[in-house]
Amino acid sequence: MAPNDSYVVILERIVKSYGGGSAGVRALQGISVGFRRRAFTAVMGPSGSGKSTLLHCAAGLDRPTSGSVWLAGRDLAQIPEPELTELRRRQMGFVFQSFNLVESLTALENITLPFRLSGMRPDRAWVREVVARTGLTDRVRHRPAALSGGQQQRVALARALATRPEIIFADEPTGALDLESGRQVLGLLREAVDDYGQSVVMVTHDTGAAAYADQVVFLADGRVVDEIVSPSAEAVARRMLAFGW
Amino acid sequence: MVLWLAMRILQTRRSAFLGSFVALVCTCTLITACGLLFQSALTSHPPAQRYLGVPVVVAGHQSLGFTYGSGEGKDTEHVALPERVRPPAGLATRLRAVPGVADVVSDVSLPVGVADDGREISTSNPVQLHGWSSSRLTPYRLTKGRAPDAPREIVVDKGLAHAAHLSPGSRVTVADTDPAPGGYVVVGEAEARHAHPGLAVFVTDAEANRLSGGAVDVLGIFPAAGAKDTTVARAVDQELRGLPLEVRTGDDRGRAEFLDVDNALENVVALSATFGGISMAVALFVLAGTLALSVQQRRRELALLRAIGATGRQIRLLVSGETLVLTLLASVPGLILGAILAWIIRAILTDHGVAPRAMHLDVGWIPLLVAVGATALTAQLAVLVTGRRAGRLHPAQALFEAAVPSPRLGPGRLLLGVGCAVGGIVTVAATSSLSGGVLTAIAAGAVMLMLVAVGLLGPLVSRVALALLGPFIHGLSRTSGFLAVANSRAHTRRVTSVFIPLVLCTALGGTLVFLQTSRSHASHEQGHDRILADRMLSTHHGMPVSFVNTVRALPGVTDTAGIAPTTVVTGGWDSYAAQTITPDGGAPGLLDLDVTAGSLTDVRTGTMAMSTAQAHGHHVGDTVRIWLGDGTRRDLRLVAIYHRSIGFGDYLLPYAAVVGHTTSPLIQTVLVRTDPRADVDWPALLAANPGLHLHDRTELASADQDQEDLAAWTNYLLVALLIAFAAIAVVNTLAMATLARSREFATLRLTGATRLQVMRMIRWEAVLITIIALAVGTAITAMTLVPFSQGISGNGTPYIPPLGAAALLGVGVLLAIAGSALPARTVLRSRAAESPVTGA
Repeated sequence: MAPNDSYVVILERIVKSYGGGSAGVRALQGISVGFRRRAFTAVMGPSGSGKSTLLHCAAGLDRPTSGSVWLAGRDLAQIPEPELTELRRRQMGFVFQSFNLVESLTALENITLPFRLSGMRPDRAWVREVVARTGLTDRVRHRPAALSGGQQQRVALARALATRPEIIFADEPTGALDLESGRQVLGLLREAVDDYGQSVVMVTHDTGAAAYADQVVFLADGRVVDEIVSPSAEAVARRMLAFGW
Repeated sequence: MVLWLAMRILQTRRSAFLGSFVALVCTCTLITACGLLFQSALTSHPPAQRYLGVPVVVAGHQSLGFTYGSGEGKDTEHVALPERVRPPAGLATRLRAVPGVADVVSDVSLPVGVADDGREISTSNPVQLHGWSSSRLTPYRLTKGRAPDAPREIVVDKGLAHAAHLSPGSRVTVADTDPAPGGYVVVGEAEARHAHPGLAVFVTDAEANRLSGGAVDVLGIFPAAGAKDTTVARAVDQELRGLPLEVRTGDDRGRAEFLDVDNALENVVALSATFGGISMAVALFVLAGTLALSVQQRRRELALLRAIGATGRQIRLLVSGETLVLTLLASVPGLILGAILAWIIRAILTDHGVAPRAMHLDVGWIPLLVAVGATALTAQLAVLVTGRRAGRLHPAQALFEAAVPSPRLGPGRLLLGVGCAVGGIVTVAATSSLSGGVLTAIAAGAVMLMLVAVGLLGPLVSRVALALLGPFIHGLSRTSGFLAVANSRAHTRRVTSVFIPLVLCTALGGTLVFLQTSRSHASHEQGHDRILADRMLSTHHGMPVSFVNTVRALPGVTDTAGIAPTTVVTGGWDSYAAQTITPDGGAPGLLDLDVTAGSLTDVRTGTMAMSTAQAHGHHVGDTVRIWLGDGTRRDLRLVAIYHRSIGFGDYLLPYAAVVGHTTSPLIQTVLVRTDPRADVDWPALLAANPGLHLHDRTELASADQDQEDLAAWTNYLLVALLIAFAAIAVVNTLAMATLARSREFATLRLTGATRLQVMRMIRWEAVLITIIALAVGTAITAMTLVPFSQGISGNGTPYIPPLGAAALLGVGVLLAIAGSALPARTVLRSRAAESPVTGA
């Protein structure tokens, strides 16, 4: 796949192995996939399919054993460490399943943390809008311990949006939430794509969550095995059953 | 920005930092105490007492300078001189001619024993005899009677007069340098009105001159009316060019009077410096472990920060920043506790005579600031490695790392660990022949190196030990024991950071204490073998040389010898304890020094003997250059090399070589050999010499007794404090580790383990850790002690009092159990279902 403006992240023949010798594990076996701009992509698969590993490689959190990762036309392997971190800071947002926030900081401080790390001033108007959109206006001065799981995830999402990154990576963002909070977070992710032109890549095992996406990529044993465009929950579920999961 | 984050994190997660905080408070306390003692010893000036009435004094420069190298590399080493350096004859006359000088008074002090009616007047310090003209220096004023006029007249000071109910007309006997104590008539009583000098008696100048053999200790200079003290001082200084003398004014004058105080203060300076250095090294160790543990427990949070975009450098700064803030907070209680500790140590040292009472605790803000700085530096060094490791955390690795960390040791760590172990062993092997205070420092250093090795190789050591102990514990307890072993096997890093402080405790404590006991024991044993005489005589203040002959002349006495301790400075800019002996001939029937070369009978004027420890490179027949305790150079021919020097001295000189070059002209002990069939009239001798003590075959006081005492006290004090510190570290680390395992315990509870089974598992883990720690600690102690005791006593068996060893081991076991059982109980009290979900 040639570097192309319609793709924000491109992975080419990514192989990732852990450990050595007899204990070695090949999490990714030569995956090539591209994530479209201004699109909501879901990555699905059973445990051990390598979907989290794929996310980490795409985000530069981990370096693949071989293959290349391109973010907005730049080869991540060519970027040395401190610069890579700064790139991540400015151009990527993260929402994890849990342990997303720094316990000692308030919600607002967590949201503006990437700015502080860069030594830059946040865009106050934009931050205010993001906070309003995620429905956190009256909770910004609270610490994570005083927030519900759903609220914590929304803070993480607000932090991801605050820097207006190229791409937002979400790893099982609704995994630890109840149905209602989960739907809120997914709805916000959808809005981010539709209203703000954000690109989102979400790893999930929940067929209902996958239905929010524009495209679903299916992984199994470290390889891409199928794709569905404009998925419905039923289509996704049917496809998963077909693979005998 | 990083500092802001550090402060926020510290504010909210206080409990996570408690362990490190406690360790930092202890570090600051120890360093502050050392710093204050150091400062106090440096700035303590015994104020002028005897010389209060004379503004300018001329006294000896009590240090010898050796200049070596040339040009750029020129440097001078100074060695302190313990024996009084005296002004040469005729200097008083020369100084009188200096413009601005009205009068020069010669002062001499002679320790004497005063007896009234056949009984010695006992005093805590020996009474000093002076010439009457020197009473001007204090000044003393006559309160009763008149000044002495004739040779046998004496004036006593008020204190002595009160103690013995003396008044003008009383008769006393004074034991001085005359062969037999002389009778004197008290003609007056004097009092020093503004000063508090020691007890004194005064005779005529001529008599004092006769008794002291013409020696002068100090010259007091009285400026002429209208002349400024400083101008006169400078003029006198010019006149002293080329002489080893100094002009002293103000508080400095006190140092001319209290010679031994100066030495003792130097010793305290050395002690606190050594102590401070070792404390910092130990603190570095303990802090490294505690801080590493606390960072380890925050991996998740730090990894999150990395994922969001904190660079490795920012994480390192964060960790350092947290440590810095924590250090500053810990400094507040640390400084206060340190001052209290310094006060306590000073009290202990002065009570045991190791430090002079003239030393006051000087709590200035400079040592306090330095203490804070040193603590901060130690803390930052300690956190350096941890910070770097935290900064290099790959966000993904840490986020998803399985609960079991990698057990493998990196090659770098392995290499460094082995290197340190080798370094430690080499240090011990190379320096095993040393002695004295330096020994403590080197032994501690070697132990620390080996401890670093254990720290680096810890996981490896743990694995090996668990492989050996595992099956044994399985057999003893199938469930709890099994769990304990499995847990420890999986978490070798945690086990290591937990047993390190315990190993530190055992190894450092064991080495220092048993090094000292070995040395004391060797000293006792050698002392026992050294003396062949069957009686010994001594007095409180000393005996004249002629007394040796007096005793020799008694019927029934076959041989006598007089021994006096002094110091010798060698070409290596070091000073060593020495003994002098009279008469010539080395007293072979009285003293057995286990001569390995030459013969002691050849010890006479112009010759000397030295110990095997000092004799490297020298052979019998060589001429060796030494400097006496007052800096006089002597070239003496080596005639014997002896082995039994511990508790005696490294050099044996004929008394004739040091006559006039020691502070006191008296000898300390007279050794006596008697004919077993004869009946010596001891009572008559004792009656004629009030204050004389007769001993059966006991030990000869070591020439180095002060140093020996100081070394012993250094060791015991150091060990006590370091063990306390390490003990706190043990409990701290164990508590931190245990509290962080609440999730693990909860999982065990949910799986079906009862509280009791979990507690038992913890106890087994404590037992495991204790066994490993004590084994490693003992190994290190043995590796250090054996070569050192080879050097000390010639055989490789250190002397270890079994009670002491048992106590040390017992303390170790108690600490381990306390440190893990108590926090575990707290953790287990919470309900099982809570912990796994919240992951608290």
